[in-house]
Amino acid sequence: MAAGAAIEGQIDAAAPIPRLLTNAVERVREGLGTQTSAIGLIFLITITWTAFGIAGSGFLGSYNLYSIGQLAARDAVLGMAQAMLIVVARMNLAVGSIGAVCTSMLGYLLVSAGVPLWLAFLLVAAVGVLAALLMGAVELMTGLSSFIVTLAFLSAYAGGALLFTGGQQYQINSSLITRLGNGTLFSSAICPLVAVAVVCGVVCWLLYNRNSLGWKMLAVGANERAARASGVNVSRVVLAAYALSGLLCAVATVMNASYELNVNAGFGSDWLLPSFIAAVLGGVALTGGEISVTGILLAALFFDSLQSGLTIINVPSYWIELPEGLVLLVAVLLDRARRARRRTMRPRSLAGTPAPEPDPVAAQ
Amino acid sequence: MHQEPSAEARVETLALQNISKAFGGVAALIDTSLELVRGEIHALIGENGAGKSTLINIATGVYRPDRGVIRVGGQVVHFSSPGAAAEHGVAVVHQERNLVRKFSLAENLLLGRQPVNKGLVSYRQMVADAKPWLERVGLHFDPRTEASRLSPGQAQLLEIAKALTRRCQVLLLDEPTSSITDAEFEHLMGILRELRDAGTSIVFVSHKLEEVYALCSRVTVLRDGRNVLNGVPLAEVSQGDIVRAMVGRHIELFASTGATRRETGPAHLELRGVSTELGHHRIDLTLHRGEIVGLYGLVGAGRTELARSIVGLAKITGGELRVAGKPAKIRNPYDALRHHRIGYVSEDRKDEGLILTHSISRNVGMTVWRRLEAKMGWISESRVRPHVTPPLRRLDVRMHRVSQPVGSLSGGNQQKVSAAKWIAADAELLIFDEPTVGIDVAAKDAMHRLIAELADDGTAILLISSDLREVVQLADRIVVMGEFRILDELAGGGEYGPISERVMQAITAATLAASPVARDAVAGSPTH
Repeated sequence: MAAGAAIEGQIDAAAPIPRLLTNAVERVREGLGTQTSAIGLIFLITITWTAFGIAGSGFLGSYNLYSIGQLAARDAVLGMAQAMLIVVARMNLAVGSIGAVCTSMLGYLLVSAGVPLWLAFLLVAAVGVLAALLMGAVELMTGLSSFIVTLAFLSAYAGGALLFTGGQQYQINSSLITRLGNGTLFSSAICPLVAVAVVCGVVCWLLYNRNSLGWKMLAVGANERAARASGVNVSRVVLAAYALSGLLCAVATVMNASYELNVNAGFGSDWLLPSFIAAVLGGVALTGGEISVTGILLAALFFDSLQSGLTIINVPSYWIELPEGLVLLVAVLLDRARRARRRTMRPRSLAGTPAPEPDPVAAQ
Repeated sequence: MHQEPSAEARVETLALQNISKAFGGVAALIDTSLELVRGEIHALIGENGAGKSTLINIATGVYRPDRGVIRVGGQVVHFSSPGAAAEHGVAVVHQERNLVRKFSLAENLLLGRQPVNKGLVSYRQMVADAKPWLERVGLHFDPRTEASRLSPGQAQLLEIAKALTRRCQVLLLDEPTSSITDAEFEHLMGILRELRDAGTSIVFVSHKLEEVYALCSRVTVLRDGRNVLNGVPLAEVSQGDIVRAMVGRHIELFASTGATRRETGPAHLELRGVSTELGHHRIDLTLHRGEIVGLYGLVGAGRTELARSIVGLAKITGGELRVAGKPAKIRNPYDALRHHRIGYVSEDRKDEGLILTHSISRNVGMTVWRRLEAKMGWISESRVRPHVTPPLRRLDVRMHRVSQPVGSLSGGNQQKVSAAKWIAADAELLIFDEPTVGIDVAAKDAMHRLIAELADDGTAILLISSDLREVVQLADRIVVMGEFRILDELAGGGEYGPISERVMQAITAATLAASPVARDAVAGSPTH
């Protein structure tokens, strides 16, 4: 045993410094780990803006920045709507169709029914929530994957919206809505919708970081079996995620309508791709259980800057859809790479302090 | 009692000398040695993460050492691949089974080396070839039997047979006994002794010291990648010495303090004629406050399934379940926790017990968020922390901080976190399902203490375990289960020998009884 005691002494004496070091390194790594996507996106946005600023005339002009903000704001909210379900390891393929239903409802209520604005907003929000809740209920009752269920509702809702409106156009002429989508905030380069997106972002951040529902959503997404066995009411949490996703679709509807003004049931048909790009490029793990709200906001900004820049340097519009798809592909590959790297990191940090494991609980 | 190889028989077979290995700059092994002689069973022990697996992987050519020498029969060798190690007669049986469940025993045994005749596999030849190897390890089965029909212990024997077909001189067994029964262990022991007497060197990795003492002659202990004991004859060291060597400090093993039966309170959980969708029929079981009931049985007896039915992870189809004297309907673990304060520490730690990618705090806190949240569910880490740290401290969880992902902890510490969650929840009834499988001595001891303390404080505890010693040691009452029925019930805290005998009798009797009953049922049914 003498040899054992000697080794013990040696390790104990040498331990504190590497332990402190690995502790610090791991802390930084953990902090960065959740924000790598945000940092990378700020870098990408800087490059995009610099490159297009040089290459295309007017890219950095207030008119163009205004329209980038207008679009990015909506896409960010779509990203958050998608993320609500990705976080619980599901997906919402019907974001656009819920948008179509909500748009039809908004048009009908404001134009045909002449309902007051506040009531119209409330009803549209309720319709968005209900449309999503129905999908959630079907998923839970049938046990089918959210992919199949939301795919089915994608066409059901789009068709329903068309039937309901009979293909009618609605010209919205509420001054508040017009100001929301076409006015300015602080500077002529900022659309008020940006503020809407930021407010949604703050609310989402609070949900995921300061609310037990958000925590439970993350738990269910990361490991549904474990969450269930630990007493989390999984069905309730999943339904809540669907409802919130529907609510954000309703918000995106109003945002979209506020700058288009002349709306119809065809709205939303092109929402799916930006919703996924904003979420996945923003660092929301496709496998669930991870979120970065800042990432979603930045990813939407990057995506719409890229699109706008390509238009400004006169890339034909047919060609612009090509990079859109590529961005999604790259985003998914990045997501995978991030997770693969974390997997290889883990055993290393495990063995990082092979000597004595630190004091129980003491170090916090 | 163990035959030491006599001086002239001390022929070195495999020697790993002064091996060092680092991964990404972090040392996993430092100057570690393991030397085997012909015809010995050599114990290799250490806590999880001490470097046993790395050492075994180096011995079998999976990893290459950074420094150090490997010798086989006195010749220096360099294993460039697992195949190279096998050519030198070094074979390994890993902890996780590598059997193809849908293949026959013969196919599994000779996988990749099937006898070929004109380009086609000759099944007849394969069956004939397989037979003697199966007999050799005591598997008296038709070689055409599907591997899925083997019990975990028999699967282990098949793995050993597989290693033997490669004509190995050195056999490395990585925790071969973690999922087998006492009887199967006795059988395995017999076979390993035969192999030893025939000249094979065997390395036996185990967390169970009783087994080590029963089987091995020498012991090598690793701690933090170094040799603490190097090939010391077991006759010269006590269990306490070994534990001290492994954990680096002295711990008084709870299991050796002797059991005391405790005064128990009123009935807390009662199952009356309960049937479940998983196949239980008319189960009667009562659990009192402050009582530990050990639920023992073989793998597949229906114990985990019963636990899952109690907490609502499976449906109860008949009979009555009462909690604290009142009939209770538990639809899911949420009901179990919220309305009845029942917690379930799952045997499946990685998939059901924990969210490995989430922090320790989130894992432990999951059961108490509901209690701590303000209106509208607002909550914060700082609000949860005071409720999360006491159970972690009580269980002596080794960690840097509570924000660390659970997946970065060692197995034993993960298991502690999985239990800590229910302590934080103040459960009144806790079901522990195989709480000490695959965890090291110190962590196991901590779990044992915890279970006993919880019961002392009035918690009703159902302890599911395949480790009869653990059950005898901890339980106030032992319930024996088999074939989804309750076979016998006896008092705990007695001598291991007689209890084990009675438990085994109950199980054997049930197995024997099962066959004529089944036959009668088949014969009887069509005529009515």
